[in-house]
Amino acid sequence: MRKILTFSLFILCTFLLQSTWPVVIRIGYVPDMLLILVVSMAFMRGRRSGMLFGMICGILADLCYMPFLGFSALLFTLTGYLAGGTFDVFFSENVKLPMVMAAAGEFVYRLTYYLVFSLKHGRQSFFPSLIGTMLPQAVLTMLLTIPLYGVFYFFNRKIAVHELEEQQSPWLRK
Amino acid sequence: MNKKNHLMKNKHILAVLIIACICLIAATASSLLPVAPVRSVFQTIVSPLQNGISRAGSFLAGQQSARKSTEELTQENQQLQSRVAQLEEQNTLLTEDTQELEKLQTLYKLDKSYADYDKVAAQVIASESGSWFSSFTINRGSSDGIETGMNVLADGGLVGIVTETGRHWATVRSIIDDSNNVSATILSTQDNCIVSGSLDLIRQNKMELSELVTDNDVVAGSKVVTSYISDKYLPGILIGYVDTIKEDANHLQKTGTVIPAVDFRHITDVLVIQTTKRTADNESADGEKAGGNAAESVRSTSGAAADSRISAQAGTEGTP
Repeated sequence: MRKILTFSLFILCTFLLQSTWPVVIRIGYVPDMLLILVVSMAFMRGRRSGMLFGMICGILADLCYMPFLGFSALLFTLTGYLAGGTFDVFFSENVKLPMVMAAAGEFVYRLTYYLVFSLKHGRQSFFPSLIGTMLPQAVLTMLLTIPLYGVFYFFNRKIAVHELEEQQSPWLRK
Repeated sequence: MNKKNHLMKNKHILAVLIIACICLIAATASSLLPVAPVRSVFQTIVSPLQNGISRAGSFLAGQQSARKSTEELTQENQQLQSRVAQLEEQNTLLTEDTQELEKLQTLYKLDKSYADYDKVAAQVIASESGSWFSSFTINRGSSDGIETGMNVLADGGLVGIVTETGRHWATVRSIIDDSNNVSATILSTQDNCIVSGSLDLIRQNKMELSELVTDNDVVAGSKVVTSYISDKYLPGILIGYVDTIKEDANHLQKTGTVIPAVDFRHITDVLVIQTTKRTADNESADGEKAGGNAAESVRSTSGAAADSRISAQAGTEGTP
């Protein structure tokens, strides 16, 4: 119960920061904090959490401004699943891997967005949007992964300790 | 075995989620499943929170920029002084222009320019995750009298149109959005054209101009305003200035680019005009009928056609 509450709060806070970022910080680019959350959770908790976070965050992102639902949800779920594959292999103290995965995820997300929405309108100039949008977004997302991953890691540790206690004392739950 | 079982289950979950997503895309993209009500409920929940965060964030950002060095300030002051002198000169010129405009407007029966409409000020509280404000949320809604279809202004130029409203929020789609077309008029020559948003051009701070059919020489810098025949936008609102113009290969129409009057990268405060195109037409039709002039009431068949006819007649009257 406590776990669900904390994670819902995580998602809500990240979403609010994400949607108000362009209004407050006017640098012209917006890091994808929801994607960072998905990748971090997948990396620290495995594939199942990654997919779940991906689905919920994706639907929130879709609800905000996409013309139809399911686009971000699909991509975020896949990102969560793929990023979760590293859970068994690496220690979660390692911040470099989530950085790379978040940047790659953001790049693929923007690329797919471009393919679906820009080409629909019959526009073809690929390189301006590659240099103007996709790469800066990916780099910014990668940089912002460092502080955000720290925060997520800290809270996830607390929850993991709690979970472990519950597992070790099953009679207490009954 | 246990491990393998676990892995299979994950794969199954993934498959189920992917199928669910695809179904969701299919259902909402083909508008089998309406998205608007869900979105409305969602926005009602999050918009107060977004409002709070935006305000706090803007306040903090403002605090930081308040700490400027005196050197910068004196320099800025000097610049501003010269700017004031410049503006005063411009002001006298403009006052003359305004007087002339008033005369012309009474002549054209256009006494209702957009300066006279009731407007509500609103702040931007959230935006689409992208570098441009191609659609955004404002902190005023139906409780402040905002309705779908109202025009939104900033910096004296057209920003966009209200697409959805809740009690204390509204979503605005701006004219630089890829899916947006505005029926426009070149002010100097009174030729109609279409101004549309483009994701590619907006990076250079420009918009597309198309379907301009004219023999007149349209020059760069001409003002582009919303036209009478638009069914969504009130007439005479400044959109921007012509940047480039060239004739199409078929020599039938001209296309080009327009520089918008609004800085779409830095929108904070907007004005929402509380008159939609439809209500404005009804009002003007009623007004003319109340005048009791028989010839006028024949003309006032409400709607865009009437507007353009009046202006056409006034135009021909003016020519000799």
